[in-house]
Amino acid sequence: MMQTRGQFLTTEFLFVTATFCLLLIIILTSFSDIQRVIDFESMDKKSYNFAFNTSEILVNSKGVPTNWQDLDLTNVKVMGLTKTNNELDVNKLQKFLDYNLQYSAVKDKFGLGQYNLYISFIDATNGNQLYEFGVFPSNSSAISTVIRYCVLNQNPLKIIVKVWK
Amino acid sequence: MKKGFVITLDLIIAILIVFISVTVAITFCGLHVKEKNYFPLQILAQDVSTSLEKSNVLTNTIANKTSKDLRVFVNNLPVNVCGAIIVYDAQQSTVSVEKRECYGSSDKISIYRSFVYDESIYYIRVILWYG
Repeated sequence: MMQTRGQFLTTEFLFVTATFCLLLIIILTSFSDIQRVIDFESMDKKSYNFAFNTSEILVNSKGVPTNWQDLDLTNVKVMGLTKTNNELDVNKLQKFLDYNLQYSAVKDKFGLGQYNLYISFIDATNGNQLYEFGVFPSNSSAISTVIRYCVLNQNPLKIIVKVWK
Repeated sequence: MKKGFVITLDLIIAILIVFISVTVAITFCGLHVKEKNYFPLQILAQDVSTSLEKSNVLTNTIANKTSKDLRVFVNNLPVNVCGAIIVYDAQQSTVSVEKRECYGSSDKISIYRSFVYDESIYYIRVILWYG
């Protein structure tokens, strides 16, 4: 008995195939978008942690060693700026600002790796910027910002730490 | 002519795959509405209270009986943060300021701190919330 082969084609099959392809495209696009969100959030959280840790060192650490402002940069381990919690030491702040010329070396002291750093010191009573350190993130979409308050010469100071890539 | 459905094993598997894929996609889409709540208000409130205590803002406020410095400070809080600061002496509130034109409905966090000025004990209450 001779057997013949053929194709079974109905309107329902065409409709189902088209719907399936459409759904598959939507799902693949959606997964791609979700992966981008996951990647962004992961990177965002990492840079936020860097920003927060940097701000914590700045406003709550005296530095290691505590007289680091009198030493050469190579002998400095941690660049804390305070004399007591949330109270900045003027000499340490000035030395830190002077080190802006050695931005990369200072950035490494904070363990920022490939991330960049920008710090703005603002008078908390009038909003005027007093000092700044680092590289301003002019063209980056992934910037993490942490705002901290402290005291300098008995005046409240707002410190804005931006970490970006 | 009689109309009907053709049900094959391929079709059943295809439908199952579609349903499973759609369910997984919808579940993962929940990531889009995940809120980012990284900015710790509690730490900001502690910073604010410590800075106010160690700066001359509070002493000026109490000594001069004016809320001017405190009001300027509160109005310069970060743009996404609303806040109010109340200074109490031993009996009652002496000064109370709130950030202007700042409305928000998030949960408020509140911390207290005590300090001494001119041999008297004062308390400061810092209330912050997202605007």
